[in-house]
Amino acid sequence: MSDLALMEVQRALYTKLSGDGVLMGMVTGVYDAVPQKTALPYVVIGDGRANVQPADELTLTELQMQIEVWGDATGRKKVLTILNRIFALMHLGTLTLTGYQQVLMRCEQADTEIAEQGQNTRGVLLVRAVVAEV
Amino acid sequence: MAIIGSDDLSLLVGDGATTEIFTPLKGARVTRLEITQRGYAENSVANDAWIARVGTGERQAVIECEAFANDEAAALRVRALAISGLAGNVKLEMHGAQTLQLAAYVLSYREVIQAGEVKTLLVRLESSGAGIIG
Repeated sequence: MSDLALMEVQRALYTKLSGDGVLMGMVTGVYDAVPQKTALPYVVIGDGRANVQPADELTLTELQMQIEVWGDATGRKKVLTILNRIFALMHLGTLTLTGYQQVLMRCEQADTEIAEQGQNTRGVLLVRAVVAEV
Repeated sequence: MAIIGSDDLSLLVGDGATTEIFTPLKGARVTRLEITQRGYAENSVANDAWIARVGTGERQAVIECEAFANDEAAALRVRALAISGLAGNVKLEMHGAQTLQLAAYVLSYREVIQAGEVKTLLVRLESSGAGIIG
């Protein structure tokens, strides 16, 4: 195993989301760390977790990644619409990876919540992927 | 003394050619190597003494492994052996340079298929004939 799959998968995730014209027409950007005064709504690639499963001559990594959508507090519909678009891109979708083969990718959980003392709506999508090092 | 980890174990499968080439069963995790031999008692009938052995015989090696399913030749060969019911040669590479080569039957071959998960194999090999210790 040369490196962790998490960084490569998150890079591919960013490329996929930021390369989608429909999504980019709905948000102001896709971020890791959000710059100050960034206009809502936007997408944040949140925390990830990689679980390496050892096997002979094959490294399989199961990843859980969190994608967040931040919107204003004028209702959940806008955030849910954006989550729907991300779901359409990610669930059973394909990531373009270097050094890894994608085996599975599924969206497994979605949530919305009122955040920041009622100022924002936050949507969270949990994506599970399995990749093999090639 | 060196404590031995399980990561050095590798199960290689012969291709069945006249000059046989062994390739690793990628994604395999050998879970058991068991060598059994039956003992024979010399006690006479109705003798209530402690059993005295005359020796052992009928040796057999059993290898069990689980593996992530893939489409490489070694995995396909194992499946072909299971379907045909024929014996094939396998080689277990153990710690360091130790090897155990066997003609073996695939006594159990199970593909575990679950939606949203990686397909895995459960394989049980039982030797037929003498093993070659290398």
